[in-house]
Amino acid sequence: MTELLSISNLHVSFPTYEGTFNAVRGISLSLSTGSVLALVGESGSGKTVTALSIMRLVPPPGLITSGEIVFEGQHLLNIPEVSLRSIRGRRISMVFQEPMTSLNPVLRIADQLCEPLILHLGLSRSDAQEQGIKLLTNVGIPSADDRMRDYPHQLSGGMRQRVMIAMALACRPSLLVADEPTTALDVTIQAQILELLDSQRRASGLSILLITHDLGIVAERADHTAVMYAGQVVESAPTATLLSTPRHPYTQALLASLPQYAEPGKPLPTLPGQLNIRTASAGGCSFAERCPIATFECRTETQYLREIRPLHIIRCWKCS
Amino acid sequence: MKPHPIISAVDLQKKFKVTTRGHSSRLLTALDRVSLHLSTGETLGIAGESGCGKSTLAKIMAGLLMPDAGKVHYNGTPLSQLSQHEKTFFRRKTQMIFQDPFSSLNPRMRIADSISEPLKIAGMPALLQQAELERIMSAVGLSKDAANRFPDEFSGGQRQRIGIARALAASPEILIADEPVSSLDISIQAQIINILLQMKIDYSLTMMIVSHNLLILRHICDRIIIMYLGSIVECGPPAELFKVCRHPYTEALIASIPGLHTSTAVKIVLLQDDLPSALSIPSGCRFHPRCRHAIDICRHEIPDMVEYADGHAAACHLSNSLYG
Repeated sequence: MTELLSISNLHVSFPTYEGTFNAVRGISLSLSTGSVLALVGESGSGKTVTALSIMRLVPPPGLITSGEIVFEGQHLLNIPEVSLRSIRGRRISMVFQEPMTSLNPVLRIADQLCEPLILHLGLSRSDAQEQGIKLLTNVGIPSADDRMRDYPHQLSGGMRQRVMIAMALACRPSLLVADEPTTALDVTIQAQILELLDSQRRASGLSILLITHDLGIVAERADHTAVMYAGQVVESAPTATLLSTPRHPYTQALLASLPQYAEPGKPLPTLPGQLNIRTASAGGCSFAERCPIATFECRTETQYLREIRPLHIIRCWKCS
Repeated sequence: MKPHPIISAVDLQKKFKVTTRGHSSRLLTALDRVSLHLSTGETLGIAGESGCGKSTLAKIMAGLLMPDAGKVHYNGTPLSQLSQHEKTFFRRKTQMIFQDPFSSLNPRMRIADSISEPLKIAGMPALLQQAELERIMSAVGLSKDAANRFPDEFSGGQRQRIGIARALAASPEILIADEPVSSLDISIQAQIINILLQMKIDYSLTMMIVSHNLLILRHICDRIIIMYLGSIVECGPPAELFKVCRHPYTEALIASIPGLHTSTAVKIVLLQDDLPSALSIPSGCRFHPRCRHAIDICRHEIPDMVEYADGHAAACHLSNSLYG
């Protein structure tokens, strides 16, 4: 498999009144054609900022301070804004968590769905309309030609997310960035949407960067998984390996705290405290203050990623 | 002998009037013929997709909403027949925790004031209040210095602790929690679940937990009720539901939980389409338009709840032929 996207040593920071806030601190990821890479972590761990960086959409005043993103051989961080436009929505597209706020409420579905077709593929209005109906049918929307005339508020959450996916896939991109695509949906609808993404991947060799906090989804859909904590990848491995033999204390704790693996009625193993990004990025291992096996050295020594077996890397010097 | 139900509901019905521009007002059926009971010390889970009436049910059970028809009984007496004094007692003994820890706390009240308000109303002397406040706060894992801060200084997990503390301050018998952990991160979720489990023991609470997350309910509940479009389709102990459910909707819900079936080859049951609108409930069994087993009788006749095993009941015409 060829490498489609590679991110190396990405740093993103946001200036705030209380000093610079480093949302992403040296992320490196790689995604090959036709595979699904999952990015897992709690809120504030930098998942979304990483995803937005790929298309250089980090909201100001956020700034990509260093790093390199290579997509299909192009260095995305160096090319001019104009050439980026032919990539956004065309080669790389995105599906967001909230399907209500990411569709324009005053435009009909047809207008929003046809825009990328006309803009990127140069279709005529009527061809785009026809193609749009096909796209909606493909994502499982019944009576698609009627839905084309609807406004977003007339559709349910699941239908809106299908429309978002249809829009994202309109120009046959090679990379789909899906940021919590099913978090706002019910499990039955979630299963439909995930199945839909998977069928698109099988049909057109689409690669997916899947951002989620649901380890169940990861187990089911991702080939490779990277766990993020406080703006860094702390562990990354093929999904099956990661779930069966997690090595980083944070990954272990996350998995242990899931109710599906616990005996009913018994207290769940938990991590003390919560992610505090300011103290976490102060120095030493970012997880040290919540880590059950942390020692004095962990609080002072910076942790580096190292490979403990092929494809399995962790950021913890204590695990062998 | 079965323990006496502390709170029960008989044939609850609730409809809301919905007015849309361009339409005459229509009735949305939120609850239809819902009956349930909670024994002392039991934890009951309510599950279902959004819009199935879970939250409405929780509010009616807590006495915050009046049903259109049907009755809620507290210790055998209908709520509507309680005297003023008894009603106050019921309200104090039945506390609720809400889903959104952001909008359920008064942003202008310090945490200490929010939590001790029930104590004040209960007429506890000021001196004792302080001690009780500290005891409750440490029970839910809030540090002492949190007392004088405002809600906006806390994260979601901390606020949910405050919400639990506030509910416990009234020393309730019944705790009704509406999606208590669904807005929280996984590691925080586990912390809150543990607090709920601990509080149940410490305060010998009877709990009703509304959640769309069946795995969480399986972990903390003695019994789970599955709702679909405003009525109960199945009810039973979690171990049994996950092993041998008796309703195709429960089967589909469980099959949709990601990550439970990684080893098995393909998912068999995938529900097609969305939940139908509660404005026009399908005739007969309300699940029939999405049910892959539906036959003629399902379209015309509303199935009754049938008890198959002790405490395990389902409302499906075909349950016997499908699940033996």
